[in-house]
Amino acid sequence: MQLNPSEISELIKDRIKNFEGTAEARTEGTVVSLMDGIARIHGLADVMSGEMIEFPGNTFGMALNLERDSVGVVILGSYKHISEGDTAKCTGRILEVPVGEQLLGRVVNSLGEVIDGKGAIESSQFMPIERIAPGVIERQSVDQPMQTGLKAIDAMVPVGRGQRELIIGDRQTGKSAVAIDAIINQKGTGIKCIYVAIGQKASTIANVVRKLEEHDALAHTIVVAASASDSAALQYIAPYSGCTMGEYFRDKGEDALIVYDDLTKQAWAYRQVSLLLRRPPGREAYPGDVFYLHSRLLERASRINEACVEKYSNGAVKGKTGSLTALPIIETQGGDVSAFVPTNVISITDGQIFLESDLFNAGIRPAINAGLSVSRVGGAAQTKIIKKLGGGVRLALAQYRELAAFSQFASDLDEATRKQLERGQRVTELMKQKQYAPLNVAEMGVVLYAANEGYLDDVEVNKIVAFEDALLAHVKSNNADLLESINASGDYNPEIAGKIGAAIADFKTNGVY
Amino acid sequence: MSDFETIARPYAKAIFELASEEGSLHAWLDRLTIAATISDDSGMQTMLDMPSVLPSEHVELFLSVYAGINDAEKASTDFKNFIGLLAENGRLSALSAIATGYEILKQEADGQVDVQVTSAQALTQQQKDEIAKSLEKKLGKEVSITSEVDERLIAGAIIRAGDLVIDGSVLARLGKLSTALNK
Repeated sequence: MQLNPSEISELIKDRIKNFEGTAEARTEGTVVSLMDGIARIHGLADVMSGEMIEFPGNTFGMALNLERDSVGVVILGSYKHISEGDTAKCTGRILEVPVGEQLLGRVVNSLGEVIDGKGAIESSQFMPIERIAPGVIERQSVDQPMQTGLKAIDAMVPVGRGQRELIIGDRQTGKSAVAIDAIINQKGTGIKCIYVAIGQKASTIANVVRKLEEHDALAHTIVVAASASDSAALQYIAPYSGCTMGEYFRDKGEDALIVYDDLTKQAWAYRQVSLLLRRPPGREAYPGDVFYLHSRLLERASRINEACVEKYSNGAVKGKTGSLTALPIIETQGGDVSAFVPTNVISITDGQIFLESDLFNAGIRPAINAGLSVSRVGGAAQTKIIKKLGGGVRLALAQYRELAAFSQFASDLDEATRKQLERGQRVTELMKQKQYAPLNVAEMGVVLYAANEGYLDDVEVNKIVAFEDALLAHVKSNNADLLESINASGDYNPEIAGKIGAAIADFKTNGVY
Repeated sequence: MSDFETIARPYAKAIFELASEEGSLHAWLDRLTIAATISDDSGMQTMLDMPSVLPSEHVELFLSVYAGINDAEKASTDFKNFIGLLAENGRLSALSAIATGYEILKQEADGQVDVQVTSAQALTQQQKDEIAKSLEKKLGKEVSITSEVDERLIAGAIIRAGDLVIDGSVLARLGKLSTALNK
């Protein structure tokens, strides 16, 4: 027999001391039937919708269906030890999870219980998983950038703090990779991250955690994991739990970023739960409230104003705004974005990043389709320098796409067309970026400046990536102060432009690539 | 169990309304209790499930058994009609649920509530009175207590009033302590 770490006599003494064993009045019911993780309970006359129900063996469930003679409860976790005739008790509490800084760097399940084996967390604060999103009065417009560190996204589909930007694409197009790069890029910015993994393989989640750890990004990240082997109920509530943990930071005047990877699987889990609860199926067998499922979740991502932060923090935090930025991920089947869940989430979010397998296979990674990807609010939040220089990239790519199709039929092209085509090829090449290598604002500014001002025109297309690497290395070692000042202010004016130009010219004469 | 409850609800309500109009609430409670006992009988259940027996024969048989038990009262026309209606709708097996539903409605109307007290040791009359008094305060209803003894509770008592359970037993506390330590 081996002792558990929790079996130290000091700890046991403590627990016995703090144990409150008073008599309590609770409403009880009886389990009438139990199948597939759904219990029907007779009794529980004054149960609330969404209330936690206690079963024998420290198991909890959530009341979802309140009917005339019975209550439908989804059991959160294992239900093998519960049987017909068992008693179920009301707890009087809506389902809640622990929140706070101590969760950072940890992997938790949908109920906020630690599952990374690094010991228990002392959580003093709990918040309900379902909360009402901030109202109109409490909000503020999105005007600060949330840098993802990916050139293609920050230049063409910028994301602001408090925005909801959908990442959509087929399987194996690098959706998670984009989100994880964004998390890694928040290192040192003070933005807390929450990565919610829904219905993924446990090995995939372990890989993500390891990668975050390798890039020093786990310290500012909470991973909420509901793997494929967890019950559908846990997969269904995982995004709400993660959102609550993120809202804690938002409400105390900080910025947070949450990634839902992915909401398609959450919708599947919810469909399963709903059908087992015998709710009528609708389109694609989803229940009628699948739109509300995602809209109420994504509406909680927001930027709130100073007055609201002050109210939420009981006056402890003054003069600060808070934000929760959401990057939901949706997996499409064969590029079909007109399926039920993708259209819903596209309409809810403030823009989308389209990833395509054709581009991915052609070696353009991140495989962002620049034509279909949009950001409806991010433009107002862009850093000045990226806004000025990034506009040219979008234009060059748009012109290139138009010409590329039709130039295949033309035998000889005029000078202007040929130039545009070549510029387009180079910009496309330049938008490629390695995984786990986010760029800061200044580095991005230098690269975009080079493309805009024609410094790439005499570089061979297949040398662009090497050119970019060498250019950045050169500027970093010779013009570190310039980069620093751009990163600090984000400004763009003729003086800065002149300095960047000089640095690039210096590289072109002295550097090798 | 709960299936019959749904079926029984409109019947129970109808009888309750009929009885309160006639002012025969108590008589109907007796009738229904006896009828429920009859329909719960396993021999009667088998007979009711038999497809070869016609509903009219059900009624006849049922009423003759009823008359055998309750010979003090000749079955009223309303009661006969009620049994006939149940037989026609094939709901004679729901009788015990109807009786329960009726009893609950009657208790609600009377402002009464049945309370079960399970305790480790037998309660004295004084203790019962005290429990009844404080429960009446809490529930705002007249309380009638039935008590039983269960030594497994070790000490303390469990009070049940409908869905509400007040558990002050040592057994429950030990159970909670064990969950707290196993966390």
